[in-house]
Amino acid sequence: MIGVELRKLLGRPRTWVSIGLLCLLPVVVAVFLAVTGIAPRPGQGPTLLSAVLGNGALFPAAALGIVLPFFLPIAVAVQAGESVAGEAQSGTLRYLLVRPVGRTRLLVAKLVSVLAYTLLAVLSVAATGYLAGISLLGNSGQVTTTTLSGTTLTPADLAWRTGVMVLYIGWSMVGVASVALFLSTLTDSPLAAALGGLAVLVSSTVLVTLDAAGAVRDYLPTRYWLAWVDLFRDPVPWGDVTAGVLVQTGYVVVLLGAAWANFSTRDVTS
Amino acid sequence: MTAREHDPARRPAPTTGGGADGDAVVVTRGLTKRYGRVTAVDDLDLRVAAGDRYGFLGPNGSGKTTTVRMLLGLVHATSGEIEVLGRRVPRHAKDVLPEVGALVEGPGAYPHLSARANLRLLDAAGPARGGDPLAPDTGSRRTRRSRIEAALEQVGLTDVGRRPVRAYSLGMRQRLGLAAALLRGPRLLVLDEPTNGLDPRGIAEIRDLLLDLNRRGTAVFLSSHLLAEVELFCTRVGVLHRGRLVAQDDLDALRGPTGRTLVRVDDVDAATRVLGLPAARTTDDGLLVLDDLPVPEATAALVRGGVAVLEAAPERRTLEQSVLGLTS
Amino acid sequence: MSTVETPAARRRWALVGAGVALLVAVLAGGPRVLAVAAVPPTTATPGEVVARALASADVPYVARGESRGDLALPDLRGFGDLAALLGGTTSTRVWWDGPRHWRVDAVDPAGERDTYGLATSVTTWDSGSRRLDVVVGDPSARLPRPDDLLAPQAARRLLAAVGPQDRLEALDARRVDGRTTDGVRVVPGDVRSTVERADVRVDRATGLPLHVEVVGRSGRTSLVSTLHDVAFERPDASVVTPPAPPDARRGVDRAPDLVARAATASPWLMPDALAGLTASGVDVARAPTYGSGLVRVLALPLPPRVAGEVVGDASSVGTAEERVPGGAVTRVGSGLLNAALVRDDDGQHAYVLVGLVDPALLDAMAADLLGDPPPPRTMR
Ligand SMILES: Nc1ncnc2c1ncn2[C@@H]1O[C@H](COP(=O)(O)OP(=O)(O)O)[C@@H](O)[C@H]1O
Ligand SMILES: [Mg+2]
Repeated sequence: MIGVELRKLLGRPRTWVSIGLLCLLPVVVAVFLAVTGIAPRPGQGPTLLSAVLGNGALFPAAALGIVLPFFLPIAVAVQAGESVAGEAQSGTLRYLLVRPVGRTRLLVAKLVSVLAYTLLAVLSVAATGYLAGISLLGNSGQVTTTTLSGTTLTPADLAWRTGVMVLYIGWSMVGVASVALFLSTLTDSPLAAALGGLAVLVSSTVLVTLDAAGAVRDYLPTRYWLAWVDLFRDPVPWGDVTAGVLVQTGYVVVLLGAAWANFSTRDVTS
Repeated sequence: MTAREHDPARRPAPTTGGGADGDAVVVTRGLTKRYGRVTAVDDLDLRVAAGDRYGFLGPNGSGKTTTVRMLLGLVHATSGEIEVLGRRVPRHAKDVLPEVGALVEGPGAYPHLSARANLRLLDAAGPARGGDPLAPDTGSRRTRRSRIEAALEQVGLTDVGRRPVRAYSLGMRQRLGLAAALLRGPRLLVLDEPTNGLDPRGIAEIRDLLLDLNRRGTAVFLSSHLLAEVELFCTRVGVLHRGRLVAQDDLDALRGPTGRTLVRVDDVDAATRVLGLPAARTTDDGLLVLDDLPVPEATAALVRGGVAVLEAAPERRTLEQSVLGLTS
Repeated sequence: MSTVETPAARRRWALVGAGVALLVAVLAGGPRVLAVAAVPPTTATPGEVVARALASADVPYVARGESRGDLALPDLRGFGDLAALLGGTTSTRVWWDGPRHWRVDAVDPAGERDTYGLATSVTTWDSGSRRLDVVVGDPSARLPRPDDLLAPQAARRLLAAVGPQDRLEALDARRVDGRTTDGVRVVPGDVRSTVERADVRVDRATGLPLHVEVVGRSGRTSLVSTLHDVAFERPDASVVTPPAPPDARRGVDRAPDLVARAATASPWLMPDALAGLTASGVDVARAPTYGSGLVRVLALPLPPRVAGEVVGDASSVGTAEERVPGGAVTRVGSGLLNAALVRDDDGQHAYVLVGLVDPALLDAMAADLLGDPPPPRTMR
């Protein structure tokens, strides 16, 4: 079943179109930066972007920073919201279930498919970011890349930090995916599931900035989303990254549990 | 949905017809489904024997689709029990469903893929081994291509090529849905309104296909709101009305003789006068109806009265009449 | 869609529900229980705790700091991130090797500002502007920096200022960030102080203050600073050495900010007493501090041009300048921290007065300064 889901994922034009669009935005940003040479003012614009001029190797991180607040969660929420509700809407859910495909198995396969999509999307953005950065923004003459703390990174350093960042952002997106996946087992409308997932994210983003919500702040899903920036400090503070992984894992486990509990005995009337 | 919830005192004796319980392919006892306050299916006792062509007849909204979904484990019963192919559903649905082909409330397919690609995905999603120990190969990847071609051939979809399902007509989609149901050579076909969207010729083709499959041993459970369809195809009929089973019998029994006799005479008024009114009525098209008057005596009396008897035959009900009688 | 209530479904939901409940209970209750459960009571007197805290400047440690202030100050040009520092949350990372060898990073999601304290200089690195600035020597007065708000720094400064009229009380011992601490409460004896009380929690093993909480007269907590994840270890030398990014802009100066420049450049000899408060502090002539105990006011002469700009900025955010005999006063601040900008009508004298004191006291000091302007400083 997992193989079938992956084949469905990879065989669908929409998968590639959405990933293409995700990759397009950082490229556009890179083109503008390269042409104008105007970096965002310090403290403004997307994270890390002010550091990438003449420092193209840092652009994969900046590229992810560009798509992270908005486009990546949307793409992942749509994909995950589609997973069960989409089958319900196209009328294929009932035929899969009477084939028979066990409901838990179907859910696991859908999860794997969403994981694959997320990883694919994050890796594609990072790879496009790297190519765009190197070719458009150059490598500042010498191969020096500096951290936010001002220290110099070797290419190997940069490689592992970028790798961890890709995994971390991927895992954050899995948190988003599990919200949408859960909602996807509640409703037969993929759109509702995706929008519900995004609504959770937006609420969380608002609450994170609210001092009055301080008591729950550290447990909100988006609380540690930007912690990957820590990977570009020196020394790397692992606290927030670890906390972020734990929080996301908590959400993933709870929401997938809820999805399973709901879907296992749900009436399929689509 | 489980034995615990079902009150054994309410369990009815097996209904007439069909074989012993051993070769029943579908049995339900006290099957009930409520959606909130709506009772969609109410205390249903179905029995479909192996080899039956069972017509599940009922007007729109009578609970046919809900019943079919419960048989397939898609919807969970509020109370009552279901056995399909001798095993409890939904508990053993995993073992039963590989041998069941189903079409529920219209076909479903991925619109961007071709018929073949759809069937490939669907087949690959199912278990590699069928439930039938005699045919362990029914789901294997090795036979997939030939099974798909065979199913497409059966429903007359071989020449659709690589066009995506999006471009299919409603009838073609319906055929694709049937092909999906036939993919694994099921012992039981559960078809919910299978002829929706088909043209008359298509309906006849599908009927021939189903008859052929039935001859080779496949039981068919066909739910429909079309009397004519059921009358032409089925051997047994269950009639559903507002969620309740109001009749379940052989087709011939349901449209058997009424016990009355229709007599064609040359002068109806004279005949009525001869026989007296309570004993003889007339139909709209000028036939004399004999309710409990023995035919020989009646004809003798008519001849004696100078009325010529042209024709006398027992009255038979149409299925429509029985169903309307049961559901009004 | 509807879900059926079956025993199996109920079991599944119960499983999920129990998991969530357990998680919430552990997350919500755990830290609270840990903070007070089985903490051995203290044997030290408040005075001893204070003494140990004051002697802790040499304790090396690596930690994460968080300070939160709600001192609403207007954003004034030339005053850097003072408003953000005192009126918001600042997250820091600390590597402390000693009073003259440390590094404090103020981090935010977009970047960081790192301060390196070295033997004879302080170096700051700003990742946003990619500037590396070195300040040589110790300015006699300067704006607060993120490291000033670290719990140990803030606590030592506060405790050092405690005078005989202020009262010390012992607090119950409790855990802070998993470490057993002894607590002292400072209650100012002078009603002119805006501080209602200040609580300091000091690590029992090392004497390092881990937590400071200042509560204003309104009863609201106005400043909290805590250390988290403290490791008592000597930081790596490479970490406490300023970086040398190849493409950074660089600067070297003696004065890090407007206040320091003003203090250095002031031509006036400030008086020995103002409004009954006597001057104290290291460099009396340039930036004297008046008062004792927790009632202390910094009185800093400003170049009149700078004062004019600041008053302009302040009035643009709704703080009006008020006429007083001999000059004008602009009051900013709220609750805990108050400041007054004083401009003499002669167009030559201007001052800023800042302290955790009642605005009336600042007014009295302003009246003294306007009534008897300080004379020019003679060359030494
Ligand atoms: N998901 C559902 N929620 C609430 N009521 C439903 C649902 N599905 C069907 N019903 C109700 O159950 C009854 C039977 O519906 P159905 O089984 O679809 O009838 P049929 O297939 O015979 O037309 C109808 O009254 C219908 O309104
Ligand atoms: Mg129906």
